[in-house]
Amino acid sequence: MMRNVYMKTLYDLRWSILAFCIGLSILAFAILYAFPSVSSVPGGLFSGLEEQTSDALLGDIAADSPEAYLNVQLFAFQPLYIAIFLIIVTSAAVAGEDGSKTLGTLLAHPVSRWRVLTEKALAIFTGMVVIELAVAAAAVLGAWVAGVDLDLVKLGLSLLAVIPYGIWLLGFGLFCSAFFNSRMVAALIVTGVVVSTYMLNSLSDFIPGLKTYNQFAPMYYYSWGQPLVGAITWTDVGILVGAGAIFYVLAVASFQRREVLG
Amino acid sequence: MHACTHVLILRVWDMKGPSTVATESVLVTSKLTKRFKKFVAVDTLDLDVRKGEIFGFLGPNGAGKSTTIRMLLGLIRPSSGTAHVFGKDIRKHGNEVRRNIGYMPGELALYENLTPMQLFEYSGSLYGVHDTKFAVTLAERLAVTKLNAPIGSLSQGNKQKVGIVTAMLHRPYLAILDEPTNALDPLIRHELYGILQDAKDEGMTIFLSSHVLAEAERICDRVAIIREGKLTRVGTVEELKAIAPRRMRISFDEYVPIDKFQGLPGVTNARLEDGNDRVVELLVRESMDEVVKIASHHPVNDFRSEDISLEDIFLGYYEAGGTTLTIADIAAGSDNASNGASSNSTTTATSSNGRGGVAK
Repeated sequence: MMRNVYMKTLYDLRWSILAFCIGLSILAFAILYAFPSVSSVPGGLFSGLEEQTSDALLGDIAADSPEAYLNVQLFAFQPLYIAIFLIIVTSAAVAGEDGSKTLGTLLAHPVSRWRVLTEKALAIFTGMVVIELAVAAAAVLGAWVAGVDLDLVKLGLSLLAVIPYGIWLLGFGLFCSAFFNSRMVAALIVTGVVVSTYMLNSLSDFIPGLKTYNQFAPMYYYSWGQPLVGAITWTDVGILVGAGAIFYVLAVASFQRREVLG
Repeated sequence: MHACTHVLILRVWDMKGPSTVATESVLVTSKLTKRFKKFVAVDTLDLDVRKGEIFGFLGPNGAGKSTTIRMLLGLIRPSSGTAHVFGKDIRKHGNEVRRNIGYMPGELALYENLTPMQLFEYSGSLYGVHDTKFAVTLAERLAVTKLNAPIGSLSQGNKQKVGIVTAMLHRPYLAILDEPTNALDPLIRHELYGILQDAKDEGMTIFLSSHVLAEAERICDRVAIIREGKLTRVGTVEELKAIAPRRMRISFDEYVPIDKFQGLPGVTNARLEDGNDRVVELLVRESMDEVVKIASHHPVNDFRSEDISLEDIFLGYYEAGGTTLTIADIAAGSDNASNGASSNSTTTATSSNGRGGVAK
């Protein structure tokens, strides 16, 4: 079974993947399953929101629609959930393995560093896709069981649309893991960047001065459930994937130069 | 010494088995140096490890042994100098070189979530070896228990055995073992010596880093002593012992002035035993004829001469803190070496454990 670094990494990630699949799937199912109950609130779900807040959260989506509900309850948090998974596993990929002193033994094998990093990246990517497939399946199941009036295929695609955001974060996380000696430092920096850019993007609707800068936030390019109400903006997808690819190249370069002392 | 000055016929990689490899030198370093900022961990190290030998790389913790090994494996970059393994520059041909190296780190850390069998399968696959039969055979010889239990649940000794098996499961041409006998009980240690001897007989070269001198003395064909990153001595165990002095202890029935022995040819460290002015202790590097002649003029109670052990040599070199001399240097000019010793040995060569050392 363990024939290469890819399979070994997947094996190591199996419990994390399972835990995230179960946890996020239950959450997604519950959110969809609960929609008929919460949508029956008199005046609609978001009737009390100020116009500016409503615009920021919902855009052109009708406040009493299931799409609005999902935007606030599900899609807004998907990047954060997947970020938690990616911060944990990318920081472990290089800095964590170096810290536990197994990296030296691995690299003493006839396997190039770029290949090690690539196989680890592919395994993490696989894990992320599996988690999102499980979440999408659970959401679709919840919507179907509860009889929510939604295009189930579009619902599933909307949840999978978090993957481009995950790709940039995968690249950035691997770069920090390869660049910094300490797993803790790598994780803290990635966490700081994720949280600060998330806040930047969220607050830019309320603080005019931030509007200029929110395009530097990866969350700005996240679809927020766009496929459910329209089409995916492929430019945004391209920017996120491109950023991930650039950080992946930087990660390889950092890893090549890394001195493995453990 | 640069790699190209060696009798070195480059290894033909398509050939199978060490018996077909016509390489004299398996591992050659030239002025290999590693600095960490201002600290020099390895200092212009010249090594030449020959095919089919067990080469002991000796030094205490912090001497630079593991740093040297990490450079050989490409885990860290040399600050200057070169290292060639199988005639190939380790920086340019890292993967090719590592394909034929087995490595066991000094600070052994294994994947604790895997079982030994999973680790053998994984490590073997990375070497392109998909059959774990040989690994299992080695594991049985080393009495590894619980091959299917997580490594994290194994004792330190068993983990050590698993590390040894992992380093050798692909039958490498060169095994680099960093302190392999740590945590092994005497019986298993004995079995490991047998495995290493068998591997050597099959043509494997073994680079053994250790601070356990008894095992180096027992199994190594040649040893190098490294001190503060510098190579201090290299040669066969026999050569080191041949140039090393013997420790003599002569007990007289009367007081004998120590200056009768001081200055005799080949004699160093002549002194009276602490608290007893009738017992003379000294080190003799060459013939003991003059010492015996002087002693014969006095009533002798007891006369003892001991061959010095490798440990004594090692400690002596360390305490003398001296220059880098090769066996050839010493053989060619033992007087010079002795003179150097005299000047250095004004500081005592008695080691910290109270045993006599060798002054240079």
